[in-house]
Amino acid sequence: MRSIFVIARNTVSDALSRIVLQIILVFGIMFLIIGFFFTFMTPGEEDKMLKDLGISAITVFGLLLAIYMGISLIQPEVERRTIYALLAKPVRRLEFMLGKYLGAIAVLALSVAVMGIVLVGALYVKQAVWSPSLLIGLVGIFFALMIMTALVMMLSTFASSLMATFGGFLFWAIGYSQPFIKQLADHAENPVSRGLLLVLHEVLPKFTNLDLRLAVVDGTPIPVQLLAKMAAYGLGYTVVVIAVAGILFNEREM
Amino acid sequence: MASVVEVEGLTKIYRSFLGGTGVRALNELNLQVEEGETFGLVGPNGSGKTTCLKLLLGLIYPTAGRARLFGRKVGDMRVKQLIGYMPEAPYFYDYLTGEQLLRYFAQFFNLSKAQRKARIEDLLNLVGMWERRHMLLRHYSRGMLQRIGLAQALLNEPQLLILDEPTSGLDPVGAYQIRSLITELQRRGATILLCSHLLNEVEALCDRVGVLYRGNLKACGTLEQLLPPPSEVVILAEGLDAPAVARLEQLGAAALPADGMLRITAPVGKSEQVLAAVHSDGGKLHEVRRPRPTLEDVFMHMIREEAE
Repeated sequence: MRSIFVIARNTVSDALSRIVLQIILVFGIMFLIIGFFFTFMTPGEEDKMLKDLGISAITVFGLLLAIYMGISLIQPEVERRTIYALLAKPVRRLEFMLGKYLGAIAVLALSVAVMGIVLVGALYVKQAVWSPSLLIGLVGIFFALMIMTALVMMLSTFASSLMATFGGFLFWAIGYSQPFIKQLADHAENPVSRGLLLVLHEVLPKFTNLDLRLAVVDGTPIPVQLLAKMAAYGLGYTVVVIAVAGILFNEREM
Repeated sequence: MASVVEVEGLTKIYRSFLGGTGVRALNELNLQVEEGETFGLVGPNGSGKTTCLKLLLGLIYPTAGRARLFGRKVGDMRVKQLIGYMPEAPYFYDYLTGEQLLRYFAQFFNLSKAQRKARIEDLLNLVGMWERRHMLLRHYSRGMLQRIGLAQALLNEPQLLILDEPTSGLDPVGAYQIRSLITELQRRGATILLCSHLLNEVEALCDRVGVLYRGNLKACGTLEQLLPPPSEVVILAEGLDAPAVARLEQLGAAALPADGMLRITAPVGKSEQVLAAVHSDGGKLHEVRRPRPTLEDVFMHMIREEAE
């Protein structure tokens, strides 16, 4: 347990010293600030536009951060051989992986929090109405990013960074197209295609379950039960992906 | 008592993703390293040295055979508490300073905060990096990284120290300093498994040596067992004329001019007769020695035999 914490802390220091991560975060914040000055384009609905733009920006820049963090966790350690000296210490492979993942999640939580604070600040300056649903919306984004990071990390236990990045974007696209995939499956005449689409629908993440953008923009109250459901889905899916990643990483030869 | 390192029939075949016969990097390796000894594993690049170390550290898995450290399975956490590993050309987190790196690694061992602090101070002094402890690793030279690499391997006062090419790429001064540190660790009773392709280094440091070539252990033993006794005598002399040289050659010696003198090489069994002949022909002796074959000679002989 102690090893996991030590590795997580080191992962946070490593991530925060990386210029790519800083650039993504700064661009995310800049996008939110620029969006603030363009709300005049939707007179009467400035606050809605600001929320829509803000949630979308946090989602997209969060996705970039999640993919970047996901590919930075394992593969570079193996390629740069920094993992050799570490695994020669009393550290299990699973502890190493969990430590790296938790460190990445801490960085993502921090990033979403920083961008969220900028968004809330912008709404405050605009004297727009904002409700706790915005906070729940941010939590939904965070759960989606948790899943994304776990998926990309799982891919990077056996694939190159490029393949893992590509896979990450693919998972993201499919995860937000799940209703469309279900429709395709329902209308597919070929049983093989139908089966394949249903497997994709059932196995791959359903980020739509965690997407509360419309409710946040409209200011619709979000029931607490939904937050519990989101947490159960996000954490459950993450645990399964981490377990698979752990098995793959344990088998990997360095 | 069990050996510190026990390897039985250890085989590693690297197979590609698509299968195939693969590359046999290590072939049925058997060896033991006993407590307190320094064992050298030598061989050219690609002979299977690093593969052997990776198997012992659990970084890769064997295709066949088994390896045990302190009588336990490789990868056992109790074993990892007892070993120190210095990788070849160490790569570490370059955003940390030397001291931060040691502090990071030290946290994985059962050491109190005070013990960690004291140990890190001792090690930084031991490897001569105390003055540079606040410098980022990305600004370290190769030699400095090797020293920090050795320091991190010693954090837990290991009972078994595994060193992979510890002086590779260092200048003569750096290499000498690392060798001195290894000698100091030997004096303190550490068991050392040293992998190197620098044969003179292995010869100078190791009690026993294993010679790996293309994944096979070609020879294993003490230097006395591996190195044959001197077979010839070398005499440096001057003042010998052509008839005297001819007489030496009749005795089975070979004489060649060298730096204004004659370099006479004779079989050990004929050395006394040759020396007597040099003396009787009025030659002036400068040097007589019986050069022992080096590990390099033995190694090159093995490689040539294998190639033939």
